[in-house]
Amino acid sequence: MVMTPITPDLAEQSPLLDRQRELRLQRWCLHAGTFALIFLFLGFGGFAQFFFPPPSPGLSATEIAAVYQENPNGIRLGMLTFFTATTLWAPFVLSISRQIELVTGPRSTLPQLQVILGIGSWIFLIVPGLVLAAAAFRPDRPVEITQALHDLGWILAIMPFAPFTLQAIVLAVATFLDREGAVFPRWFGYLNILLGLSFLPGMFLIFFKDGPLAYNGLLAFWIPVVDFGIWMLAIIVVVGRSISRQQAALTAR
Amino acid sequence: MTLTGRGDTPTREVPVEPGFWLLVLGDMTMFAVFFGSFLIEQRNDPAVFGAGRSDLNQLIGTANTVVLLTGSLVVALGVKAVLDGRHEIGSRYLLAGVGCAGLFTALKAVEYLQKLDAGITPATDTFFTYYFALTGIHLVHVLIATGLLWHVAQRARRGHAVGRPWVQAAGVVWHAVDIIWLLLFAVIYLAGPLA
Repeated sequence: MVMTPITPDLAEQSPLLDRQRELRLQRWCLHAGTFALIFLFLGFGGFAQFFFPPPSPGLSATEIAAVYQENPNGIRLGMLTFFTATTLWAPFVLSISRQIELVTGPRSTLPQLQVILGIGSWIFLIVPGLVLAAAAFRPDRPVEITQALHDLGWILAIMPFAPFTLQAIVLAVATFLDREGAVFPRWFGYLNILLGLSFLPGMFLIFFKDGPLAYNGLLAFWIPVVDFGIWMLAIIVVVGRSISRQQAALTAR
Repeated sequence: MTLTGRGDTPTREVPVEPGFWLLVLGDMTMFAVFFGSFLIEQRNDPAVFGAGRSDLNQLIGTANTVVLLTGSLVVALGVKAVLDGRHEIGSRYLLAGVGCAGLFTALKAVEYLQKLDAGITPATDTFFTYYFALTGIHLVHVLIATGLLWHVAQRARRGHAVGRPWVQAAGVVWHAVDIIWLLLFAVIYLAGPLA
């Protein structure tokens, strides 16, 4: 098999028309991420009302079950919305890796690593929504079972932030490799380090029923969740600009 | 004081690069949120927080404050020396900074072990969750700053060219970590709940 040489500039590899179509496709994939962001927060915080306030792990089984008994259809609709959002996560991941390829070339480890981490972390968006949907499915069952499903859903949603952290580190590395700032602005690299590390304290939530490291607390819940939203927004802006620049360069030919 | 050398740039330069300050100031903002949240919880439960604070080892806390401030002095001298091209003396100052970080970490380890010996863990109560989480996150910062200092000191000592941004970044991160500790020491170790 003949190895084709690695060309960092993907625009050189494809015919003009195909390239424009490809960029339009990338923009659709990116904005799948925009809808994912809206649906994630609307489903979890809006319909399910899991934000104000997030139920404490210190509540008794009866109190947790009451959350589901009082708002069963809101939580069901919320988890349906959340689940829809997670499907849109996959195209979003790919639109990011295409920009990393502009820096490293398509055969580099870095964009591949980002795709693998993106798809790996996908599990932790899909599964918790489904577990919490199951919790809301029969709110009148014995309260301990609802509590167990609730704990499972929240721990699945909040604890596994590490693959997202590694994805943020990959984006920071890509930014710093892009010395000219042709694809990623410098601030994006630093922002990824800051936000990526802020996801991590959530790992300790299993030791706590109360306080800032419990799964409804400042360090385990509020900071990671808010920073996750900021992170997705920053990616949408930066990748969107990269696609626009490539489109402008093609039109200028 | 400024981290730039004397008379090398006529215009005011941003140390390292502008984007880097997003990381430093963002990190400090995060700590400001931690402290704000700590103070609110303390108001809600002054008894637990007062009792927890009286269990802290103020002596080690004070010693560590002195260690970090000494570190800031030698790091500032070292950064200035390296930027001025005096690599040998600069790297010695920076390694003294690494030594201060090592001492800080050792004292912190003694403090943690004393707590664990007394049966106090992060799950004991909300005060100790904050105590372990905030000092632990700060300790990670100290280790990152130490890594930067070590990197710059080694390059300077071996006579390699040291990138100006790397030297400045090592200095800025160290001082940021020091400032955060001063606030942390005041808020967690010293200040009682407001009446």
